[in-house]
Amino acid sequence: MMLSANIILIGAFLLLLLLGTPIAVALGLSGVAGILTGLDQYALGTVGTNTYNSIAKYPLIAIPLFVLTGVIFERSGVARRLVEFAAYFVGPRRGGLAVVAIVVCMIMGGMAGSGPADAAAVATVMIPSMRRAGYPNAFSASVIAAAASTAILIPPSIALIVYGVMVPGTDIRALFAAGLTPGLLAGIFIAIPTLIISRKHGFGATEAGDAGPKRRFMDIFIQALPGLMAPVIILGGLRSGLFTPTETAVVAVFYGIFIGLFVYRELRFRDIYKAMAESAETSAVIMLIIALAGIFAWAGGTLGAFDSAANALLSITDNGWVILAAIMVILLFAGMLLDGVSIYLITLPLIIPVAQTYDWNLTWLGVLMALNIAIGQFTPPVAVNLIVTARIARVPIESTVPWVIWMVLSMVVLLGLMMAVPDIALWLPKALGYVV
Amino acid sequence: ADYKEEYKVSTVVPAPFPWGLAAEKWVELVRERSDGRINMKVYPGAQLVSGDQTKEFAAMRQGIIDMAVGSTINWSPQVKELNIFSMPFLMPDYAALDALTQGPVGKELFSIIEKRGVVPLGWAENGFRELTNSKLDVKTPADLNGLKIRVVGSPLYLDTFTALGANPTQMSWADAQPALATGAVDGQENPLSIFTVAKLQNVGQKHVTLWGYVADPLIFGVSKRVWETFTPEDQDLLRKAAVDAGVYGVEVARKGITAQDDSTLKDIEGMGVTITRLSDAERQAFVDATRGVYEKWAKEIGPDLVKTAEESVANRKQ
Amino acid sequence: MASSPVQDDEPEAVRDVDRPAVSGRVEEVLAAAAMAGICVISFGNVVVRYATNASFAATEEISIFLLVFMTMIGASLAFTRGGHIRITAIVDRLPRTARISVMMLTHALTLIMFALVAWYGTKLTLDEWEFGETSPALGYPSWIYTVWLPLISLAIIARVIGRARREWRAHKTDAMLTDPATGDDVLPGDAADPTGAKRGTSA
Ligand code: NA
Ligand code: NA
Repeated sequence: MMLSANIILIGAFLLLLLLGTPIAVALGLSGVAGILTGLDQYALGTVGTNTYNSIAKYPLIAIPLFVLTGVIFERSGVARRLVEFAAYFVGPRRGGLAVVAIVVCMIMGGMAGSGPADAAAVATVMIPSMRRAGYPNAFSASVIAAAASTAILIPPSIALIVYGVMVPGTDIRALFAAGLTPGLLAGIFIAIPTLIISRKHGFGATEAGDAGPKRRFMDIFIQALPGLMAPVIILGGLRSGLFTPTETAVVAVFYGIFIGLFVYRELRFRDIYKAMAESAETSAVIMLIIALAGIFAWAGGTLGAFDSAANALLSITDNGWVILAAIMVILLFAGMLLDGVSIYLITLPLIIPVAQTYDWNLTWLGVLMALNIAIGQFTPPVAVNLIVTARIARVPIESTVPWVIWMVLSMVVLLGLMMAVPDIALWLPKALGYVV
Repeated sequence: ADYKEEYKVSTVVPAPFPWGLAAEKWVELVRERSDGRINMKVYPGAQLVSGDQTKEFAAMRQGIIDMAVGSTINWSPQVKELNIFSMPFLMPDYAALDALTQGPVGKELFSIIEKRGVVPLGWAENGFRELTNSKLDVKTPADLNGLKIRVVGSPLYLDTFTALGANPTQMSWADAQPALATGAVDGQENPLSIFTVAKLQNVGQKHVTLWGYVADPLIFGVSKRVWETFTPEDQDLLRKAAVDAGVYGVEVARKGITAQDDSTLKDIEGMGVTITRLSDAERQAFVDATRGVYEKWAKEIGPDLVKTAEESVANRKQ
Repeated sequence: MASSPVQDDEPEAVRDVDRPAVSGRVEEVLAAAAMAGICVISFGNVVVRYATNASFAATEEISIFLLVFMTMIGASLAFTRGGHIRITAIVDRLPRTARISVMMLTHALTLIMFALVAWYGTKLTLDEWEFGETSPALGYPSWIYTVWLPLISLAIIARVIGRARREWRAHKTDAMLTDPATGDDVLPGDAADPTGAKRGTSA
């Protein structure tokens, strides 16, 4: 009876997912189906309590706040100044503007908690000038979508907040610190195929002649400084212990509003309302998945579905590395179809027992999963960053595949490197004195 | 009878905390004595209510959870009379705590709980809650002035710490540990078993005050809906097993932290932590400072019940 | 990108699908207000903690409630606009009739889900009311927080029905449309609607 309930739980989820049911509803309803098969009608009362309790958690307040931070900085005119700043260093050369886009995505990633706001900000500013410099729009959309995925590795990161809330004994600040180095490396691993492709096809060849009027470094720097300070404030606030992650998020929101209103003066009060409304809706979409996935997780936990899946995984082989590699492959495929939060909610209950069996470091595992989810953000067909940049570039998503595939492959190489050398992630939290 | 394949038992902290040990003991005794007919499983971390331990009682009443070994603090939002154990300085020692749980107060509470849809079977223990902080040895209420203290979720706790001049902050246990580590919060209050198992000395909690201001007994409970499906013989079996598991649970909870056996206290001191023991006069200063809170909450909880409790404490066996 | 769902270059039928009879502005204002509330309370906590010695502790309960409220009300808005994350790769490749049928089926499934949340949310609220349950921090009656779960679920049900009706109408009156931006085929209500991509963001 329990076994068939498990099959119904998983089967119903996959069926509903493929039919195009909203992922949140697919999770909740398949949980209901599992409960009705394997437990009793009273257990269905969990649909009331768990829906509420799954999201009524204080650390989750950081999620809407870091979504809002990203939107506020997107609207406040930071991206354009950062582009000028980065372009000054890179200079006009083949592939130069593409590298500028990557660098700006990474700096903006130090303000935004998720990829799409980052992708939107940079794509809006960069795609027109990249087009003038001879980059095809599909290529620009690919580069920016891939680079914006660093936003969930470079702190702050919504994915790592969800992981920290779900996995007891992990410290969100340690997770944030562990994400920084892999996030910077991810930028480099995206830049490598970007430069090779640009050279080979001569993208950006017209940049040299399009240098525009020369401006003094100090002007450009002072203009970019308030934007450059934002990641410093966020990282510094977390590091110093002045603020909890939630408080850091709200300080960043108020800083962004201040910069937009009074320093750059590109933000109006009306924009603040719009930013609040839009980020409330975006956060609600994420949070509804967390709410209804609570039913799925409750059903899977009480029916023993996660335990049997973990045991099945462990029975394949005794070799921890093979199992880790298998998990990473499963996550990569899941990343093609599912958003990051859903992936955590569905897979963590079965991955954590496996991790405990092999004594894997949970902070390292969290960052590995975040890197996996980052890759998923620009791997078609469901690729939130790519949807945003393709829309702004006005190209069909299919047209980005020949370009974006190389960035996916490059990031998979980085994933392998991080599996082999945990200290790539862990040296920084260790150096900062966090328990990892 | 048509029994479930598995009965789900909710707890907040797992073994090796005394709380988890008591729950596991219950499961084990029931399995043995029923020859495996009644199969229970402990789900720690309040995972059956998505981590919100204050919803455990309501979920049991609705039949979402079959059974629980729950804290009186966590059940007090639904059973306000359980706040009696959180009345500041009502119980001076273990004998007083036992006089309440094993006396007329315990009986009265069990009948209230049963009226609210949960069948209570026995008592175990999380322990007396002691104060720890990173700043100074707290000997007087004045020492608490301005200290930021993380407290558990009940309005009575906020009132008590506010009356003592401290700055109480409510946060989940998950948030509390980083907050203590960074100094965003100075101190916390919990049974010593939580201090040792969670290694709070590593997050700067170097000052412990043994003031025993409140206690946190645990109750073995079964959803009434589930209870009625058992035969009278099996109901008896479950109840006796709970009582026996409770005796064991109380024993492990008190191990090493009593006057007779203070080995755990010695271990804590060995880790560079100072332990402050209050004299009767020092303790009285805290009693006086929280008297207003005590009187306000006596009305909320029920003056008769509080009076019975005071009598039980006064007449306790020493 | 503008947050408004209406852009000039969208086909008329696509715009109609995103135009409910009762404006989504209701939810939008409430969701934005909840977000603003969270910001003000959280920022207030920081300021009070560093500037004074006073306690602002119990506000966590309000922040958490605002988070739940914002989630439900924002989800309602996203249902109005078809902004929830879902996989459309297969549905988009179905023939027209099959496609609208599957879309209507997923709306029906969504209705069942929120009918269950409304039903069990009501039971939960009544239980809390009947037994006089109080909130852990402020000691308020718990039902004043919980009641919004079933209430907004009812609003979501209404929104899903409205969306289904508009999509059905558009299906009846319009031929297959082509999105000028991407060249994709657009049946009104597709995930391909312009701001949907932005809204369906995730971690
Ligand atoms: Na980030
Ligand atoms: Na993807």
